Amino acid sequence: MATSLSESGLREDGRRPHEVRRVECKLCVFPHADGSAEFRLGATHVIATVFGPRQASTKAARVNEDGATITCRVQSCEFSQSDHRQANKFRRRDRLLGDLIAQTFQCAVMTNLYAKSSIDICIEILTNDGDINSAAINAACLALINAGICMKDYVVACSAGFIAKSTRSLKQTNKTGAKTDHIMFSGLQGIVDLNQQEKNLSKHSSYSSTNISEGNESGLEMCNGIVTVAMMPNSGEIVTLEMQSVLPLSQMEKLLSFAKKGINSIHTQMAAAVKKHSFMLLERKGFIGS
Amino acid sequence: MQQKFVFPGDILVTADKDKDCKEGHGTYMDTIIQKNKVSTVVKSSVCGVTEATDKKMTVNVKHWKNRGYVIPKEGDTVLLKVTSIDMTSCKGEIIALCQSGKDLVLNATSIDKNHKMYGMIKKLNVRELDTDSVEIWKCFRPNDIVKAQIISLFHNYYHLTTAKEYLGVVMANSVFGHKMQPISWNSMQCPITKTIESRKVAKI
Repeated sequence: MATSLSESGLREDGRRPHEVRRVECKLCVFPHADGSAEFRLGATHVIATVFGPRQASTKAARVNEDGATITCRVQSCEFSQSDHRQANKFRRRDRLLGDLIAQTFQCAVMTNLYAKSSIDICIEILTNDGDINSAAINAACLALINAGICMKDYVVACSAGFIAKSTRSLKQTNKTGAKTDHIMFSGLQGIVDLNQQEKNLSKHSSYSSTNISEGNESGLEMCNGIVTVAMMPNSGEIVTLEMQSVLPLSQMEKLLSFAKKGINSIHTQMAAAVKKHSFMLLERKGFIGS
Repeated sequence: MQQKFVFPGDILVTADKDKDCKEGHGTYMDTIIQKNKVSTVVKSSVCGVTEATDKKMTVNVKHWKNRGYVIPKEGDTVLLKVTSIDMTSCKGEIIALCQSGKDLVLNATSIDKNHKMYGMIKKLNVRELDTDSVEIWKCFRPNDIVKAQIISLFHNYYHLTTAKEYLGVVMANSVFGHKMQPISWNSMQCPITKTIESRKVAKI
């Protein structure tokens, strides 16, 4: 079994536990859309476009006097994953992610300003190297800011999870003579921004949890959950919280604090990208002296 | 207050007991807890540059796209540019909008190049009386500018009416391309060729 965290406390790809991958944001990549953004998180590559607020296409949305309807469509490219699946336009996972994003921004966007109209978010997943949920949310947030749509705050998402600190399999011989695998591990380490490999590892360790010797702390064997948290970083409000597995309540708070750290570091980089882009525009339009 | 560059969620003004603050464009009110004290603040909701404030502490944040977001409602007056007519109705694009009790909003944002809004005047709604004998081609022609009022929103078209004295054609070109002048409630004259064409003219 591969070690998930090295002896020196570094992860497989050389990051520290609370370190996120390299963030790269670009605004206004599609001039024909009202707002667009490109978001890279390590190898994960997502493009988001926003159309609207425009006249809604469905009647239910068009008569909605209270606010705008946000729709989200997610498409992942065939080549985005390691397993090349057949092209299926309505993949279940994509639809679920679309619903998640639409719900997230329904409470972040000030929809009461745009009655009877719809805001359409389109997300294209070009490369999936884990954590696409949060990458898609971050990309959508940047695209909405680029479109000039009123939002309460940034919405920044990040994932967090637990992996075993150091695992070693020891071949031991029982009294009966049969060889059994014993996995030694010294506790769990919370990490942020899981890549695909770590995600798989985290899943894998959940299967092996039955093998883990009983001598360790009880409850720990359940701690291999991954959560994706979307948060408004300025006010600290949690907008979306998605869990991919069962997690004891005592560990939840720990994981959230880890995710918060990741969110803060992503937020600063997103804000810097928005600032850079805005200053470029302002300079071009002559609001500030060159 | 000097100009400042702000992001969504940034705090612009904190309201005190003696100071009153109001939200302007691109901002919203929120309550935050700071040092165990609940205070009302004005936060920015778009990213842009803050604008000059008045005594009431109104803050506007100007986004470079600067879109006004006007959504037509029932009873609003609009200007319709007629694009097509047929036996029963006249269709066109809404080019301007005047919300009841407000100034005329030209180039309202939802009326931008990408997202046009369309209006339709049905035969029954052209004038108040004698609706059966209305002939659309005698009331509107393509390229006329018509002042109309919104009745309702139907499918992709806003239903409009001109069944009022002050509603109808406000600007029209004659077949020779000259701007015509109204001479009665149902006719307009070309000032150069002196030809008379029939229109449903608005009383201004």
